[in-house]
Amino acid sequence: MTEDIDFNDAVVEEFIQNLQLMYREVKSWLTGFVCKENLIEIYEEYALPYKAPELYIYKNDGFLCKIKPVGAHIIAADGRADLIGKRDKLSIALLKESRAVKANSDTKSEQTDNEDLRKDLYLGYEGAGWYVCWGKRRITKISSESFSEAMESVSGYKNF
Amino acid sequence: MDIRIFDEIQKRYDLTESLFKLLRKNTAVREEILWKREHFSDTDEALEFIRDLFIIDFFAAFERLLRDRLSASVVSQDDELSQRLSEIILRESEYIKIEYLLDILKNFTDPQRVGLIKQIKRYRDWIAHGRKPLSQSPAKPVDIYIVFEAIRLVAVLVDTQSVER
Repeated sequence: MTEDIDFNDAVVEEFIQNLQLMYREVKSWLTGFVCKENLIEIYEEYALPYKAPELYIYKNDGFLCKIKPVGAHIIAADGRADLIGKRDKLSIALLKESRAVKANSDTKSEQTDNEDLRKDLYLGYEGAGWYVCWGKRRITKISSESFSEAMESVSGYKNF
Repeated sequence: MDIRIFDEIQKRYDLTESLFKLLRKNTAVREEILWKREHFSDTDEALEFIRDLFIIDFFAAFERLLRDRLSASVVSQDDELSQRLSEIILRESEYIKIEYLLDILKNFTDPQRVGLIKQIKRYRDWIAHGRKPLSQSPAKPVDIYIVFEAIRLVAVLVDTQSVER
């Protein structure tokens, strides 16, 4: 699959790598489920169009939900994917390790992700990783439990 | 312009989002207006567009506050020369690019917070100028409440600075 991905820059490449790491983790939690990946094209201002994988999740041949990548350039985050089910949709945010502030002050290079700012903005921030966003600034680091809860919320399926 | 405007806008958004969610859950309402399961994604999209309008509203309130507070600080100089100068600045102040005004704030706050506001401004511009479909959309928000909070954090600072003068 990686041969098909048109890497444009480090940010996009890192986003896709983190996405794949998350998918690997999610699949390890979902025993008895069927997972399929499908590449989609993403358009963003700071990158050429690129492809990233969606993850479809099925149970007993029925579609439950999918994780759809949104982009690597996200306000106050380092990437976003959406968990979409028949009932609802939740965002999953990538919050990476804090980076040093660059001296250059133009819009593109201003870093907006330091730890203090994240703690001010997000309720539940506890270091780098993927987070389920429940809305109203509440986030939970992705884990078997939080992902099951999120899947239940978007799909309505209760027997995880 | 009062800082409480941000609470009011957020309250309006809260209400809108809650109503949307209630509508989606209510079977009778869904059937009445022919929202079948496959139309759920349409409602997601509709809410996304509504969120964008609230971002425009929130940002407009921030811009008004920023311009008013900076203008007020210019007027506070009391010699005659300054008065003449402030008349000109007040007249022209609406035409000063907000990015220049935001840069002034970097002397008072973490530049990263200002950078975040600039990102939000670019997103706001993309919406307000007709969002080019399937083309380069700027950085998107992850949660509208994060956008609200990022703006509010800087707005409180602008307000406090002008009160302290």
